[in-house]
Amino acid sequence: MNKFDSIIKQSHEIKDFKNFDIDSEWDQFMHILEKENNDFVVPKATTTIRPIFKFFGSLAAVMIVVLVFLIALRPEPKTRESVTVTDEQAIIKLIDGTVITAKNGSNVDYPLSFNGEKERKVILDGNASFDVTRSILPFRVYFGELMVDVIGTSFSLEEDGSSYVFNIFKGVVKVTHAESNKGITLSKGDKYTFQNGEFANLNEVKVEVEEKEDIVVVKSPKVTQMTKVQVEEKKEVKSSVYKLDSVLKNFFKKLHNDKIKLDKKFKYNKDQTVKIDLNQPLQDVLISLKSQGVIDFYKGDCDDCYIIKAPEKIEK
Amino acid sequence: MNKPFVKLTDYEAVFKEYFVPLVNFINTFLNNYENSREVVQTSFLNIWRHRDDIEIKTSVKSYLYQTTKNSMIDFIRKNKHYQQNVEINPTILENLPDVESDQLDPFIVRHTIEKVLKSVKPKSKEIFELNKFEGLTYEEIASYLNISKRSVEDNIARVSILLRSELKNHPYFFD
Repeated sequence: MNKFDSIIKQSHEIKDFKNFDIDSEWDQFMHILEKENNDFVVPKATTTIRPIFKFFGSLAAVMIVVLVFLIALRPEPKTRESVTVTDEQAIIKLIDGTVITAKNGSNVDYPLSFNGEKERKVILDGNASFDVTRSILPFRVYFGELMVDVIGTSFSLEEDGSSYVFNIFKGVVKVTHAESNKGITLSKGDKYTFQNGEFANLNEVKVEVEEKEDIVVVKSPKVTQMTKVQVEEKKEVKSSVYKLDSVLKNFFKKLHNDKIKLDKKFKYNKDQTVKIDLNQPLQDVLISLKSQGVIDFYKGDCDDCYIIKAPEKIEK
Repeated sequence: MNKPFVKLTDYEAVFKEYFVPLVNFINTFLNNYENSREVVQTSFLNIWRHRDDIEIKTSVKSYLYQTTKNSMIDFIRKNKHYQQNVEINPTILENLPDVESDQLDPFIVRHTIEKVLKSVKPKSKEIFELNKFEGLTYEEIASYLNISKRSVEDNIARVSILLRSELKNHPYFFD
């Protein structure tokens, strides 16, 4: 009897042998496995891992909502400041170094930053003096119904009842009436007023008063209303002393760049001073300068265009 | 190292081959098919739980024998009233060497034979049982059934081929 026959005989000697439907047993076993996965594996995940994810997920959602809420409620970054002066005076220094000295009761609205701005805009209600730092950004003061454009200068603006008073200490400013677009260019030493739609020269009034009434100091000159024509008639009287360099650079190059050109060979003494009224017509200014022997000029391509050149030397 | 329980399809094949023999083997100790079935199920469940860590150093049959035997010992310990009924002491069972896994062989063969004999013709089944279980010779069977000796040989050979095929995992049976 071989080994296999021996095992077969042993198997036959098993008295009680029960057969099972093995496919059914396997299905039952698989059912137990599935049940075990549900009872042990999945619950473990729900009691340990999933709650953690759920907690952090909820926390993240709350944080996002709070963040969005804070961003929505965040105040716009402040770009301007408005100050009303309660002391005798207040000194405001702008970020570009410009210094505004505002007097008691005045309100100054000024920029805190010039990022993205096309101009340095200051709104003044009251009295203030300005020492403006030069910059490529134009400096403009909105003063009641007037706009004052500044190119590196020092001046003061005062409200005197229904009139506005301008006092120019240095440089050149251009004052424009917003509605009528009527404008005037003021330079160092000028003191003008604006009342009832017209500009009036306070220096002129002062001079006349001093001459006629022999008053040495007039602290608050009474403004005499003058028409524009009257202002122009008095122009010879209000000549001021300027440096030739300042007239050429500020008056000609910046305000009349389209009409005046400088000859490339023109050399001049920067400390040379001239006495001149810059409110005259352009040609008169040129003639005045020529008469003082500091420049010469000839006509350019257009009717009002001139080219400034060195004065001809007079042979002794 | 052999890891035969990792893939579900492999595990299913092992389960279907050994479940019935193991239940019947355990039943020789517990004398209760329901409990024996529970022990074997628990044993297969434990194997599945640790399938990734199990490495077979001997044979699948030995491993199953050992594991199921341990499951039975646990079962007996948990159900102390069994100790009075079972013929073998758990501590003795625990110390049985692996070679005793040969005790499982008759149960494996019996299960296979019953499975194969279900699938063959009744005549072939009768001839095989007369030869292997009753011990009749080919001539005696041929005379008893009034068939030729060649017919007896053919029928026995046909069933034997099926058995060899079913027991291909146990080639040592045919040494």
